[in-house]
Formats: sequence, structure tokens, C-alpha cells
Amino acid sequence: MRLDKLTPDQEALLPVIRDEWLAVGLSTDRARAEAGVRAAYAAAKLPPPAIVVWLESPLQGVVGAEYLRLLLDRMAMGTGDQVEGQVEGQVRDQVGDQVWDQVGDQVWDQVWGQVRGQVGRAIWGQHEAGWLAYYAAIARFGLSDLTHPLDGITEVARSAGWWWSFRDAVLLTERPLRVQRDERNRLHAEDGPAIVYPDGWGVWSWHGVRVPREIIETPADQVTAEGIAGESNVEVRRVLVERIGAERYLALAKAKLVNRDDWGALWAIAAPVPMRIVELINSTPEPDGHSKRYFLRVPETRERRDADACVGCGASLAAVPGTAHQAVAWSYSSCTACYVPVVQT
Amino acid sequence: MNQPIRQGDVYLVPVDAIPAKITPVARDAGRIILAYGEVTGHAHAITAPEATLLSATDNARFLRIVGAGGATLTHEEHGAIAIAPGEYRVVIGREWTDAMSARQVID
Repeated sequence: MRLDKLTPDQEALLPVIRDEWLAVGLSTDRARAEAGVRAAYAAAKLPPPAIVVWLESPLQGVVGAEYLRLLLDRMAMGTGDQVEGQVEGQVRDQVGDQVWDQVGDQVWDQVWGQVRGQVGRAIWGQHEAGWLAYYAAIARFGLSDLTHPLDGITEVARSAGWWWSFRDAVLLTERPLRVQRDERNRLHAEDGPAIVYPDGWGVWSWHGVRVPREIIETPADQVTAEGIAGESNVEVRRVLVERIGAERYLALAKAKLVNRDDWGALWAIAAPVPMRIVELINSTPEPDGHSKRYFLRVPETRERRDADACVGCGASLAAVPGTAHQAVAWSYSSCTACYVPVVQT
Repeated sequence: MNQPIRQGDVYLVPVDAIPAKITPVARDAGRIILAYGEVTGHAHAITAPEATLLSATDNARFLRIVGAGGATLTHEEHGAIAIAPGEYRVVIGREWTDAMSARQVID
């Protein structure tokens, strides 16, 4: 059979397959993974590996694989030749060529577009799910006899983390215990590693920006202006400022008062991270009667990606707000003449 | 002309006319939600059947309230506000981010 266009039923299956693979990311099933390894070796016409080693993170895996290679080389029983070329590469290419011949370009775009984007991101390319999900979809659409040789590596991908294949041994690693993301699916955790493995190794990340552990784990009240200024990576510096929040950053940096009017106070900070922040009073008082202050970042540079026009009258907005009123009006995409809320809570 | 209204992040600006090419936005469990809270599940919401949320081709959103009684805008942490009948542009508060700067790499 040949696939040139997906039926509505097949299209409806795509999100189901995608979600199945998104869920695969966090659980390790050693028995299933090992069965998958044997099937993968069989598909590559190799005997099953005699030695099976499990480690707890990709880091342990990278070090362990090097060590295992040396060990195997010294042992009379085997060699440290890696066989991933046979176990994965050849099989993948064979299956790929055949599937490619029988699946039209449009179908490829459609399946890939919906399945790959999100699965690839969810597991961060760490595992094979990104491309296997494509073949899983193709198999489900009736071409499973072509994709059958991939069943072994698919099974491993469903059940374990990174793995290394040698002629006489296989080294598998555990999946992460936890992966945390923000609302836009970027790796993000505010109090610890965004990805953490059973041995404690992990990845620290702030809204998708990978940072050293201490950037996330140093308590906000111990961050100093010198510490921020001393950070050489601009992106990491910005993460630090975001983490401690505008209020603390205003207190730490030598903020200059630009303007104070009935709306609030506008502050400018020149260094270490240039910023313009407007300080406002919440219009709804707290239960105890006091009103919370809050802080909004507004443009500090004239170099803007998009032109800005007032949603009320269409007039162009000041590139850099010069008063607290201009600043708060900017935050509602308005000029000062149009930002005059009479009723507010 | 009606008065502009603000409730937290939501700002309603009275307009004389709304774009001709516009589509109604489906309600969420019977409510019009102008903005969802990021974490709390709180929402700026309207239940009155006289209100319709509309979306223009450039994603600008408008609120139309027909009839004489108007509608009420509610939120778990803010006082309720009565909205007079008429047409409004719905503006959600924004904050400057590095991504808005031409000097920054877009993520």
C-alpha cells in the first residue's frame, strides 16, 4: 500500500500517538528495555549482548561507556567495538528508505509537523522518540511490516534513557525522575534542577536558558549587585535579575528616579543590566487595608523590534517612557491621553 | 462615550466602531474569559448573555455588550466592575521583555 493523504481517522490518531510518546519520557522499565535490546540486536543479525549494565544518568552513561569499552578490550571474551552503527544506523536507514518510497511528501510533512515538534522538545533530543514517533505513526497507518525491524529500538526508547551498544555488552541508563517546564514548554524550575536523574545529576534552567546550579539555588536575598555584575554571561546575568525580581533589583542596583507623578515612580538602572522599571500601587487594597506595591518593566531602549501604536487613537507611543504615567500607559499599549481608567479595581 | 475600565491586567477602552471582519470567540464553560491567571486558575470573566467577545484578523479582541442592563466583570481578587452597554477594545497588560528589543535574539 502507499500513503499519499491521511484519512480523517488517521489524522485524529496523530495527537494520540504524540501524547503516548510525550508520556514515555519519565518511566524506566528495565525488563522491557532489555527485551528491546535483544530484539534490536536480532534485527541487526547480532547475538544478544552477554553483559547488561545499568547506570543512573547520561553523565554516568558517558563515563561508564568509556570505561566499559576499555574493560571489554582487555577481556579475552570480547572487544569494545561499538555496534550502534549496526544496531541502529543500518536498521534505521533500511527502514527509512523503504518507508520513504511509499509515503508521499505531504504525508511526511503532516505527520512530522504534528508529532515531531512537541515530542522532540519534551524529551530534548535525549532519546530516540523524536524520529521513532514518526515511524510509529506510519506503522499504525498500515505499513508495520516495513517498520518491524525498528521494534527493538522502539521498545528501548519506550523503556530507558540513553544507551550504548557494544558487541558483547550493552549499557543502559535510567530516565530522569522529573522534568519541569514553564507554560511555554521551556525547561524551567525556580528552586532546583529542571531535569533530575536518580543519581542527582541534572540540568538547571530558567525559562529555557540553561544556567549553572548556583544561579537557581542561591537564595534571592543572598544575591548581590557585585554578584550580578561579576557574571560574565549576559544571558545568565539577566536570569539572575529576573529571579530576584524587580523590587529587589531596584534596591540592589543604584536606581535613579526619573519621574514621580500621580501614577507612581519611574526608575532607571544603567548597570549591570540596563532596565527601566515603574513602581505602582495596587488599586485593590489587601484584606488588612494596605495596598501592595508592584513593579513593571518598561522599554529602556529605542531599538525596538516592533513599532508601537496606541490602541485607542493610533498615535505612536514614546519609545522610552519618560514619566510614570507614560510607563503605565505603555503597559496597556496606550498613550497617556487614552490611558485614563476612571473605574479600576 | 463610555468610561475606560481597568481590572488588574485587563483594560477596556471604549471604541466608536469595531472592525468589519470579526469572529465571535467561543465561551469557556459558559463564561467569557478576558484573561486567565497564570498559575492560580483565577480569571477575569463575564457571564452575562448580553456580552460577546470578538476577535479581529490581527488578533485584536473586542467586547460587545448589547441591551440596557450592561454586564459585570468579575475576578477572584479584584472588585467586580459594571460595564455599560457598548463596544470596547480589550487590552491585556504587558511588560517589557528582552525579546521585544531589536538587539536581542528572538527565542
